[in-house]
Amino acid sequence: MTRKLLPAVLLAACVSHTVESAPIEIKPIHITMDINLRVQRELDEFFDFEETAKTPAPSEEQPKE
Amino acid sequence: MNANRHAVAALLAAFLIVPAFAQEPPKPAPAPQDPRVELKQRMGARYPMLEQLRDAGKIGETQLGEVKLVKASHGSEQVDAKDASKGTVTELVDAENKDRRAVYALIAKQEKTTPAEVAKQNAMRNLEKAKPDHWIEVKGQWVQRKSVRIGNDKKDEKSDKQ
Repeated sequence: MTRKLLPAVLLAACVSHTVESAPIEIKPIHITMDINLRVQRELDEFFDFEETAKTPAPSEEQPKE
Repeated sequence: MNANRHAVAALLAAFLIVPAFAQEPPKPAPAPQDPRVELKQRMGARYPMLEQLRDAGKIGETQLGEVKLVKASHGSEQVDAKDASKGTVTELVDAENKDRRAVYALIAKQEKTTPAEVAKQNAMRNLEKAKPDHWIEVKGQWVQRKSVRIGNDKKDEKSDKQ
């Protein structure tokens, strides 16, 4: 039994096995975040009138004595 | 005789030179206004009306950074019942979206990104700034801001507890 199995095992050892893995893609996250931050800043700057409109104007009424 | 010639020459010179100096320098052609400034002025003027409509629940914000009618029936209503010149809600919404698209394109060009990305960022910004009763369109469904949770909400809750 062993004699029959031994050549098979030896043959299997000679077969080359290659494991292919997909290339790891490293996305430049920091660049994306930087652009997003700059876009956010641009948007905040452009729409600054929204904040001005929300700020209640100080009342002009003088307190009654 | 010589004195007369000098006097005539001086007079001629005065007539020729003085008007030349009296003329105003040519005015430079009016520089075309920065599209950004124009957009900002228009949108700034429109903002109080939009905010009023948002407060009334007639319009809401979409995930694409646009403003939209919550119910189509509000579209034909006048923005200001007392002032017909302000037009209908649909007209206001369309004008706002047109200007927003122009803003997104301008910022995208400047920051070397896409208008769609800028629009997405603005949608997020609008969501964060919305009042609890304001309407937000999420995946085609209208929901009120108070029922939407975003990342910053958790931080706010934690800081409230402290």
